[in-house]
Amino acid sequence: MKQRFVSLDRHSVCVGEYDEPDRYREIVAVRADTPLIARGAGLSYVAASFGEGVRSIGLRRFDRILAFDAAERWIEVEAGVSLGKLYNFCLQHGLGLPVQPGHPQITVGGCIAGNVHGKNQFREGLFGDHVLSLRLFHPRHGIFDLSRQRESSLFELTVGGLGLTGLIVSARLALAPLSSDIVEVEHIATDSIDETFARVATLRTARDLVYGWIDLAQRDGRCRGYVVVASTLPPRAGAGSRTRVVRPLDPGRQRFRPPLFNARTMPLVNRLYRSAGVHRSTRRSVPLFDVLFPAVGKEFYFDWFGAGGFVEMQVLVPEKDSTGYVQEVIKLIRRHEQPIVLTTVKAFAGAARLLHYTGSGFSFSLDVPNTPGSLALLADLDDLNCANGVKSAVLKDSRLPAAAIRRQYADYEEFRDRIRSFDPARSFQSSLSRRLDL
Amino acid sequence: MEVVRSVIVGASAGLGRALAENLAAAGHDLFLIASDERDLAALRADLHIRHAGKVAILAMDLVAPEVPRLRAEVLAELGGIDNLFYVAGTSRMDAGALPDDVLAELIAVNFTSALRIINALLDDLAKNRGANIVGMSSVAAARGRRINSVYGAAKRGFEGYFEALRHRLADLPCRVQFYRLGYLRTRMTFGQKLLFPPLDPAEAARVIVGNLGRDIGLVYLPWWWRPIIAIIIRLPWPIYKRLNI
Repeated sequence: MKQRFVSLDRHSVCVGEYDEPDRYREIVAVRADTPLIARGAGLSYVAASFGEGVRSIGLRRFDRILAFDAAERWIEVEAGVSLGKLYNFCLQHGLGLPVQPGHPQITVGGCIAGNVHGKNQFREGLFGDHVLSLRLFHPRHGIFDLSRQRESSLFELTVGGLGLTGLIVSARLALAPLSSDIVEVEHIATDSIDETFARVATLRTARDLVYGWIDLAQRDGRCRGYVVVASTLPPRAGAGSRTRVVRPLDPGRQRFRPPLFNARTMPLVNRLYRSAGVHRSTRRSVPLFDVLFPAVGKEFYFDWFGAGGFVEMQVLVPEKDSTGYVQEVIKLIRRHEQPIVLTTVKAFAGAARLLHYTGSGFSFSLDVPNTPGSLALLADLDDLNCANGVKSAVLKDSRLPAAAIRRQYADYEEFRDRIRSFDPARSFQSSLSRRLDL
Repeated sequence: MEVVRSVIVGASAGLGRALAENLAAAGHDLFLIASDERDLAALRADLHIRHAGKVAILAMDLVAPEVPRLRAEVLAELGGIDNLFYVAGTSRMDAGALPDDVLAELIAVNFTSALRIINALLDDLAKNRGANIVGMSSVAAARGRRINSVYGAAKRGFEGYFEALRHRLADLPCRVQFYRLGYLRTRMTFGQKLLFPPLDPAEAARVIVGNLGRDIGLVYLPWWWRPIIAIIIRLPWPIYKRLNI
């Protein structure tokens, strides 16, 4: 059927075909007579699961647990299983996924295709690091059982392959022990960007979660902020997770979205937000669910950019150049006079490979309203990034041009060539893959 | 407390799968029947891992079910039967003539196979205190329509059998329940423009399981289909024949 698809940032909109099989015979009957792409929860910031003239194959009905070994700490699941369902199940066994993005609706298939990161990439690595094996279906090639030992090249291409190698049907994932479902959270006030980066660098090895929030909306140039750190607590009598009602996140739903995040409001909004954060600076116990899935209960954030939505630029800055780079970013922001709604910093580690968003340094994110002025700022930031060896996250930035990715990712051509070599007909495509000329 | 033993025919997707999940969570031992072993195996694994009860499966072509084998396996796996849910169904719009094999499949899955399976297990259920035989029909069976005549007729026949079955077992402890289902959010309605909002299968399963043991006969699900159908079946022919429904 025809469906209107909208990316989470609401920057990308298009009408495409949608099918949602619920039996295995329907999956293996999928034909590649039109371009295809898998779709899970549909919560990617960018148009990764849809495209003009593309048939999206929804896999939400494939959400079963296929095998589980508590002693060996692994679980095998269908690709449409949500992180929320997995969280609830694994918690009963004192286990959890080591890497989880911020909303419980997100599916395992999407996490693998995007090779996403979680709350402390520096310590945990990427989602793909914890995928032991997976099953892939391609209408022209059939079913593959892949792992680091079996068809390792296709396994590597599929993990973080943006869904371009086929439909991920199921996967076996490594689990990590979880001592409790209560987390101790602390907010540490910072007075400058340099201090925020330094605090994140100091705390990244010691805590389960570390990220910095920076206020770039003030005109005084102080760029104050805070760093949030959290660690799982040992089990306590009487302690338990608060049950949370998860309101479905649906960027395609038609409703009034007030443009409350703008140049006039952001200085006040950020002052209040920082005050609230710093006010909670004493250590407090919080349900793990709230820390793992911070977007739950804050769905309004995505709406308050207004009808046009927003764009997130997330970049990986080499550690040694981070201070100078950020000063250049601030200069550009001042020159363009655009509102910066959210700025966060996380510590990263790892070797760069293909189009994976990984490497050593700091991940630096900016959320801006989707306006011509903001887009002009981001275009200038693209140039700055390319000149400074800074690379952008392809799964976060809806307007990122192929030219920038070509310059930023050393393995761009290798990824493109290997996808085309595996599937010369290019059976799997999306708006994202077309924009990046993959 | 004795474990309740439930058999679901058509368990691999939609309402059948939702019933299996609901009953497994309630602690039932399950015997699941559907046409494709891949779906059944995945469901068995999921239910077995998440819940404590026994889950057995049988992949069988419901166009021509091997009924003696089915009964033998149910009794061997569960040791008896307390609830039988016949949820399997297949639908096809048929504004024109259908190929004969398609017509035969529609009648078999929606009517004759259902009767054969229920008949095979009837003696095991009839005198069992607390037993339930639960069948699923459709609001499409309420009045013949030009666009799915075979499906509607097969379901109407199924309803007639259940009415007779309820009459036959009226003095026995086994309950006979029959649901006229409205739109469900399943593969059958996927992509269709519907006049009314579809019901989530999990919600339908919750109601059906909640009704077990009650002498309720024919029930509309959701309930608000009852007044709608009451109007439709009373529409004068000169008006009804003009409706494109």
